[in-house]
Amino acid sequence: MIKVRPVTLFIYGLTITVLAFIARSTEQLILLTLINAPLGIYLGFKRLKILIILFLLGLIGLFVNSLIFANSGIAVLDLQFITVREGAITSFSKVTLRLLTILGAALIFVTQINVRDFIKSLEEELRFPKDIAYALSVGLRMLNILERDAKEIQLVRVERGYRKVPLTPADVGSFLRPLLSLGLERAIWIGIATELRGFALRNPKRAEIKVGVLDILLYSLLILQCLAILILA
Amino acid sequence: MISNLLNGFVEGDVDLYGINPIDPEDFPKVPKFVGVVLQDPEKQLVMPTPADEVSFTLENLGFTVTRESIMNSLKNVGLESRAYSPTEYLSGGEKKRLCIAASIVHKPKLLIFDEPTANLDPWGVSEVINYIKRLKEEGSSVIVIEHKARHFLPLTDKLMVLINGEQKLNLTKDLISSKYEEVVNTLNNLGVDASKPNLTRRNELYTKPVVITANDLWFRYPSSKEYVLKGVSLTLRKGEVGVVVGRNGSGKSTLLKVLSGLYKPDKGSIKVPSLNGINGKVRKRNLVFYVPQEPDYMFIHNTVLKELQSCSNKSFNFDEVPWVKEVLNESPYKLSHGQRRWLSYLIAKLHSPEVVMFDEPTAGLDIRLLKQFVNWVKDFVSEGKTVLIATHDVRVVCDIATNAFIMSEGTLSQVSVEEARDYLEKPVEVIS
Amino acid sequence: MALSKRFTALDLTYLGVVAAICGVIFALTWNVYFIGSALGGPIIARIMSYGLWFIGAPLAATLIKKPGTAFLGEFLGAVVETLIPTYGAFTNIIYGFAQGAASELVYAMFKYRKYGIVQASLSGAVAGFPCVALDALLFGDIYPAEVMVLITIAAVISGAIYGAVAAIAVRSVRR
Repeated sequence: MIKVRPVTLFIYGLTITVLAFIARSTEQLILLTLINAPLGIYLGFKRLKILIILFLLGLIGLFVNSLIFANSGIAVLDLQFITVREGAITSFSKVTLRLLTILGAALIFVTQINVRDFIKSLEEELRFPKDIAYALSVGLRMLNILERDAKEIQLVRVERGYRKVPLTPADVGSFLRPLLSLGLERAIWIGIATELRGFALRNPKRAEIKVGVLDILLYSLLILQCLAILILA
Repeated sequence: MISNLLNGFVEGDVDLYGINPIDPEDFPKVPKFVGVVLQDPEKQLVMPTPADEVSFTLENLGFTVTRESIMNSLKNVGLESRAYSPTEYLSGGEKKRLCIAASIVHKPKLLIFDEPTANLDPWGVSEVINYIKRLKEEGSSVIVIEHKARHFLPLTDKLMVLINGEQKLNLTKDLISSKYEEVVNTLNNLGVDASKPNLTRRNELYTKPVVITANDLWFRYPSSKEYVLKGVSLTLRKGEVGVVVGRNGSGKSTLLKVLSGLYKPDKGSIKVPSLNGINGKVRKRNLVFYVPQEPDYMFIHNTVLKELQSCSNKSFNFDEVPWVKEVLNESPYKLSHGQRRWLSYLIAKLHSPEVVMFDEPTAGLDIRLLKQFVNWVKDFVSEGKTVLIATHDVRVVCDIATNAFIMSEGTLSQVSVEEARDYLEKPVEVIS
Repeated sequence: MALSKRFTALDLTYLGVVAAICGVIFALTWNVYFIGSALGGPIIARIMSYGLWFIGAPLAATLIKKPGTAFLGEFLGAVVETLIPTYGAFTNIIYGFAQGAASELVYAMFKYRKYGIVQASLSGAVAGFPCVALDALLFGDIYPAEVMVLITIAAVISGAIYGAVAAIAVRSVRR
């Protein structure tokens, strides 16, 4: 199977997100959305349904906010208890398009990438220092372990009659302490083990950036979008 | 050796293949000659897959990494088929073997194992001991640091006992093989776990009232299709100490959580006669209290005092545990490991449950902390309470169990305590 | 001087652990944010949640006490969150970069000599500014300027609180 280089995906996703931040006009946003959202949702529908559902739920909140803060202009829809005006609709649709673009870009990235290759390519191709690449791989390895910790902590919290999700600073403190305590205890040993495996001597391998057909396709798509945004501005 | 990392201070000289590891200049060279395997694989593995783990060591030390060299080293520990599957899906024994592979891939002359059998079930222990045996036969020097000396005695050439930093005993192979019994006795007297555990007989409690009954429990995690519990039934009586033994991943922890009412079973019922209640109520009244493996999970507040006050309105009796008085205003996380464990037992007790469930309470404990735990349980049941322990520690089974269960692939069968002991001993005995 | 202090493998592992903790906390924070929005609207939601998203910098800096750690703690946390992934997706990396840089500035102002609760609280607070600036780019169409001012105040207060919470947690855990 042909695969896109992780670096390409990373650059693509990040640039599209930046474009979504910059784009101001509705036309620009529609263009970005039309290219990225359908592709992302198509690729991510199976694995990341929850994220997409969360996104839809978030939109309801956004709409309520736009009714409260941006409800100005001509009345579009008159529901007995509230009048929906043009301002609310346009501002809501703009923000929605922006978020859809970002979601699309992220779904493309996450579904096509292999985390392991990504970290490797950070060090080998993007020439990140070995320190950063190492810290990131520890972070991702620990993430699984800490998620297990978090579940156990939540169980005990329920058992002892406390809130499961930390809502107040006190909750957060009591959630952070065990995570930190266990994390640091592990970190000391991991640090020692790594040093004993010769990390200080490590000379990171640097590789040339290889480009395949798919990479070129994706880069061209990216350049086209950048140009379009400039023209539409 | 670690003085260079942890700001410690070491005096004296060490000669290691011509370099001095205490010297900061020489220290980075140590990994070239020495492979170290630490106690807990979770505190050692840093890469997403076994192949990366092995190549990390090689790359660090400046070797050219080929697919072949990685595969050879993984083949050595029987992990070649798992080379590219995520590390977190490996079993405890497999993770341990991966640690070994990653520490020896560059063929160091000396190998150091820090408590290789801690945190492993008996099947994992047997894998590791077999492997160390092979390394020795292949001509490597191996240093093993262990509480549980008995598995290693047949392999030992030199034996040393350290107590509080002092060298108490120094034996050679001839002495160990010629006076085996005597050596074992001496070691036991010094507090080293060297002999086979003896079973202490206890009274049968079949006439006591039933505290908790579970009938045909089925449970699966929402994220998976496979059932973890497949029709589990059990009964516990007042004053009993039940142990559930079984391999890692056989469903022991899940069973405890379901019995404590923290997870709802998909099918089946849990009855606590003193409450006449079912599932949900068990948790609300805290009649069954679950104690997780790590004491750190148990703490909520930032001082010991608040921790104790939050559990119960009753005033606390400090005579039982005098040291608690000294640390009331400390953060629970600043206590020693033994104290934290003890505090977690106290918290459980202060919730005044009828049954306490312990998940692997003795993993990685030395003999002193083990005794502490055993005594705590004995005291607790003497007050008419009940305990259920999920464990693969044969010492726990022999010292306190009155009632035993074997858990295997989601089903539970009641056995005698002797059978439970033999079940745990069998995989290790084959070697020694 | 201080700037040339090399990171040891131990420091880097601490950083990795902080990044992972941030990953877990950041992911949980989305729940807090949504609960807050549902209960009290955008301002309350931000007071309750934003500081949690700034927690990487004060955690890492209080723990490791070296220049650069505040930025890396927050930024790597955001990278981990992106890879999970959570709701914020790639915006996380952008926010993480800006917030981390702002927090780092506080420690730089103290010449990397002080890593106390005050500094942690300040570093959380200033992360509020870039965060709201980015929010303005994202949601500016909905929230008018005066609401943005309130949002900024909410973010700064939240950052100050959780910066302090992070530092106190580190202190009560360190043995």
